[in-house]
Amino acid sequence: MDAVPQIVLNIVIAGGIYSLAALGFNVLYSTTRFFDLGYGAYALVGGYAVLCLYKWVGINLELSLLLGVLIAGLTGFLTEKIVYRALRARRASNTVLLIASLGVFTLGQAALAIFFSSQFQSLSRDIASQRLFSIESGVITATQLLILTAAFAVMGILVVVWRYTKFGRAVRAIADDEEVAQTVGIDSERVIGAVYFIGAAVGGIAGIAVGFDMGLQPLGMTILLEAVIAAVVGGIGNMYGSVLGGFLLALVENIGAWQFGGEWKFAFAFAVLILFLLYRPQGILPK
Amino acid sequence: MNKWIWALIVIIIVGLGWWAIGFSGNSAQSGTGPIKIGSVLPLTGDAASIGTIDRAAVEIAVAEINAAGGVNGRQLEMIYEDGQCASTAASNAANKLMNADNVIAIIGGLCSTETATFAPAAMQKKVVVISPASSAPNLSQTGKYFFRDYPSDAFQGKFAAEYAYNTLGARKVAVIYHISDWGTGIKNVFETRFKELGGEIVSESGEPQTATDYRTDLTKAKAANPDYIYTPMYPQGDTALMKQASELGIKAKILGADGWDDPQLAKDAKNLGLDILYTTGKTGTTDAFKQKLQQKTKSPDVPVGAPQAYDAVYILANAMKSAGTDPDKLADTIRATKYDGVSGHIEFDQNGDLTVADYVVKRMANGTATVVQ
Repeated sequence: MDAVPQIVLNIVIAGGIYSLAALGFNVLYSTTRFFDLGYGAYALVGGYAVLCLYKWVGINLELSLLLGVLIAGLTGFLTEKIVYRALRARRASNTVLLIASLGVFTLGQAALAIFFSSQFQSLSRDIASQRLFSIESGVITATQLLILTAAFAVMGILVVVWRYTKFGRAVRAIADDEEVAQTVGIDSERVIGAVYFIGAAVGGIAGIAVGFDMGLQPLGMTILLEAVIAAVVGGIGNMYGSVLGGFLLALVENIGAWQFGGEWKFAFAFAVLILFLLYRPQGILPK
Repeated sequence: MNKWIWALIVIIIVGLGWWAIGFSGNSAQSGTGPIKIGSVLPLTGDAASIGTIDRAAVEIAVAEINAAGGVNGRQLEMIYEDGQCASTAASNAANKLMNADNVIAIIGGLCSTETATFAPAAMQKKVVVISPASSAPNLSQTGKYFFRDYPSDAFQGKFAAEYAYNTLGARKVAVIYHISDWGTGIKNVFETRFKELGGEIVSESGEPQTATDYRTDLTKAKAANPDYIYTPMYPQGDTALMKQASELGIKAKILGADGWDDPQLAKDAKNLGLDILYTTGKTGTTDAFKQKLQQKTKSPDVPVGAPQAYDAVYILANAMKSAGTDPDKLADTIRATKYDGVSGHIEFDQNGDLTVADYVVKRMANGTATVVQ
């Protein structure tokens, strides 16, 4: 039996999720210029919110998804307002913000573990009744196709908003230089708040995708690292880059797992990150 | 100047404290005081639900022994430390027990990782270690003072290989395993034995315990066209693997290890259309012990290691009755033990492993797992 079509599909499936994760991280990092580890927690919050609403409360799927994304966005928004803004007001350095975000990440993970236990839980209600699509000798599920569509849709929306709206121009101005942006009349606090909401919401979509496709555990490090690698490799500040980075990461990981065994997956992923940091730190597609 | 005086005072206090601890520790092991024994079990963290019940089993045994007059008139004093199913925590816990409390023996750890980190130090300090649940094969060579009344996975891997080859008629097997003391250990034993029998390992893939994407591992296994996929993995990985195998239309059957012995998995497997078998220890315990434990914990669970932890305390206490607290005599006496406990018949070999281990094969069907005859 030929494994190649399925391997290609595996890459595409993983690439979709990594792209989503990278897009959200890119939105946050390219604007605020600090490395928010809390992103791993916002993504998990999205997944667990849907778990709670859809599987426990029994709300219908569409509404659960919408609320899940909003709750994730709100978590990011509030974290920024309560923690990061207070620190930035005191002129805290990026190192201090980084350490604070490690606190946010750990706190978020621990709180989720307390409320939802460390048990591995799947979001889909009946994992057996999935619609399957065959391509050559490979298989892809309806959920996975939906995730892939979502990744490209989110990318498209972000590109349009960032490039063609007043809000997008304000965000780019802040990303270039916050103080100059303020002097020309941009309310940077409000814009950063909105950016945080959007970034965390996109992270929430990634968390929900992971929950449906694989399953949830209160461990956000994996999704955080995948987001970071894909965003850095693709190019910070470039939305197309994040998607490209996501698929490249999936390609390297799955070829590694296929040719050498699953134990090599992360080693290959990080090797790619280091190579890029050394030889092309601006990423494949610079800003 | 002030700073220096403060530093000096702190050093003196710490030094005095150290001396006092050492002093009280020594006196505890002399003639008539209580005999101090340590326990390293996961009381928080991933395996806490198991560890806290195993601790209750130890408490029951200690209370019974003390109520019956202790060991040669001396009471047992248990000191419980938290190993968290993690290497650093277990190492700190055991160091505290050995250096500050001067325990003569440690019951634990539960997870193989815990035991593997602190047992070598215990061997150097001549502290007897009896683990009620650590099953990693590489623990067998730990040393003279190490015992476990739970079977080594060397037995389970071998049993699974023989069952796959002889009973299931498998000739080609693909392996997907979790990289850990337990997963890697059991996988190695399985592969060696399966090849000895004449079988072929057609593909092999390891994943970290936290992995949730097994698609490429499964695709690789599927392409090699095996009769069975052997999967010594932990439950959270099993859940993801089952679902993805079903999506990928894998027709090969799955043979798991005791990491699959989780009631939730059997429920999840219900409609997946997979044939899942797994090996697990023949766990029998007496109704009397079950009742005692349930009375104490107010929970119906008798998890892995609980009967073994109870037996471990008795084995240690019985040995001390004739050997005293001298570590060499104690180890020799424990090695010669023939004991019928609540976990079954216990005899140790040269490595401190059980001489016999019984396994059963279970099949998941209709939401439950039943023993295959």
